[in-house]
Amino acid sequence: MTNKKPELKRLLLFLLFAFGIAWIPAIILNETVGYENWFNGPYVIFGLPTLYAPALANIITRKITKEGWENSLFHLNFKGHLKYYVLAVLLPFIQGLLSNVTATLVYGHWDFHEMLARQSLSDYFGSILLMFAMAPLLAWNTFGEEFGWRAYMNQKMEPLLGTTGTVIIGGIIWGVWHAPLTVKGHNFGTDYWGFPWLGIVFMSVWCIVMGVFLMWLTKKSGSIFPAAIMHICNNAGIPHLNRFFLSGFGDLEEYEQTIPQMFVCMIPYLILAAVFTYFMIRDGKKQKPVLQSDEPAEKPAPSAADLQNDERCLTE
Amino acid sequence: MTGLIYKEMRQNRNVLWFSGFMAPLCLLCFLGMVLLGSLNTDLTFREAYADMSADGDLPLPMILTYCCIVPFLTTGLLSLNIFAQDETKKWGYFTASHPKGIQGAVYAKYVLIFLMSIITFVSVTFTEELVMLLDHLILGKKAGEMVSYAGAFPFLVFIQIFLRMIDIPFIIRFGKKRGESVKIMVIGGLFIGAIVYALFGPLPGEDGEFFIRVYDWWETFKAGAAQDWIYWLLAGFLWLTIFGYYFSYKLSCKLYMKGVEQYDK
Repeated sequence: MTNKKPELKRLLLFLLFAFGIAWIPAIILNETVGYENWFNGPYVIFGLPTLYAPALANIITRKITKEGWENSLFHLNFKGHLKYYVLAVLLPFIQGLLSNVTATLVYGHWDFHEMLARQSLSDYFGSILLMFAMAPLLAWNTFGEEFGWRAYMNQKMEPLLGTTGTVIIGGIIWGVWHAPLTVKGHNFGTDYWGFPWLGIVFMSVWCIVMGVFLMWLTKKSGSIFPAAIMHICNNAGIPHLNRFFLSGFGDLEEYEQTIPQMFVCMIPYLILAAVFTYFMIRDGKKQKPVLQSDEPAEKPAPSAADLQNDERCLTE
Repeated sequence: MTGLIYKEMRQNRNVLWFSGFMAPLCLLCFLGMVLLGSLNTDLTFREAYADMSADGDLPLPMILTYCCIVPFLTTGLLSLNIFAQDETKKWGYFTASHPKGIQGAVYAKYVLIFLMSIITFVSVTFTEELVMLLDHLILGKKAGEMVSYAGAFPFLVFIQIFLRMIDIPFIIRFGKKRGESVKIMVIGGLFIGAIVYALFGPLPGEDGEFFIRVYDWWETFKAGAAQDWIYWLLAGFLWLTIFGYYFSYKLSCKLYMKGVEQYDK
């Protein structure tokens, strides 16, 4: 027997803390010292609560509701799951590859000579090796978000809304959570039609797509760390390594995509995200998520095989 | 495995706390020195801070060098202590009979040492951010004018892991005391060699010119304008460290029982 009400309460409490702890300092800092001074400038240390707000919300909610630390996903779980750590680095790289190749094919023109004139193959592969080794070390930056969104929100949301619902609603919540930065032009600048609302909408779409892979990694590995690594690899610029494949745009220093162009370039990644969502739904059907019930479940009667097993243990 | 890692964390909680607080402690000591300097002279606190945080000819801010490099050095040395407490035959045999076995016990130590490096890395990053805030509030520096070492911290973590990957099998095979003696002999030899070279060998420049050149090179490297082979070399070093740490763990597992046989108790 499942009980959805306490889970919903926990989820709402978590969201209240996740938004409150992040938005209150972010809004105050935006208004007092200015976005450019607290996000990258001298006041960056005051911005830390915003980075760790979802993690703090996870901890506080668990403490208040006396939920305990079951399913906290706070372990490395390397054994048998190393491939997900590797995928955590590769997926942002693939995303960059897909979007930049699409940009060249749709808006530019394929010119391998131009690509090579801008950056040698040796430089390209050297940068890949360097970034692949170094970026995961920075995962402590994104751990705070993942320990909240993936290790708590998704786990609470999935039994309530299903996998597809969690991907979409969870992504929208995550995207809207970034709003104090989006309205200051952090993600897409300020010079676009529909500012800042279109930016918030596109950020939500991006978070839905990205959230699919992060959720998949978390579920498959049973650990929060691959998701934190993938998130930082994305933020630290691994997708940008594949700007190598941009051609037909002139000087890349001045090349910037508009939001509709970004959306078009995201389509292949969106298709990949749909495939991964299908994988999660398929896996979910094999193993239904179980809600923690308030009442203890009835213990099933031992089967003949269990009894035989017990007997063997006793004789051994 | 979680139990063994928990055991290591519980046993070494003071070392973990120390890794986290070493960098802010260095900053506090530095500020204490600035305060003493301002009390003993006619300088105001602001002037004393400006005087001590930037070292005359060198473009490297002394405060950052002190607060960011020293914690890496000290926690690196401390991390080796975590082996000393389990150096008894009884524990060694118990480990071998444990369901997770030798592999589990050694794995927990390797994870803890990596965790210590990450804690130092995070703590040093926060301390640097604190220094940036002080520079802004005391000296009025703006975002663009501040020197940051943040790009170098991941390399320091890798250097630390690289050194540990060499140290640990020695310590596991010969015990902390003898392992340390072997290491001190090697490092001592290198140190004496370096002193002899500094006294009699040809030096690259006078009056800190060498350090200025190193800093210039770092700026070029950060901007991505260094030669290709340097990036390959660094990438090679990082990957060597990653795989080396794994093979060091495998080697330590193999050497574990030989080491246990040599313990005194």
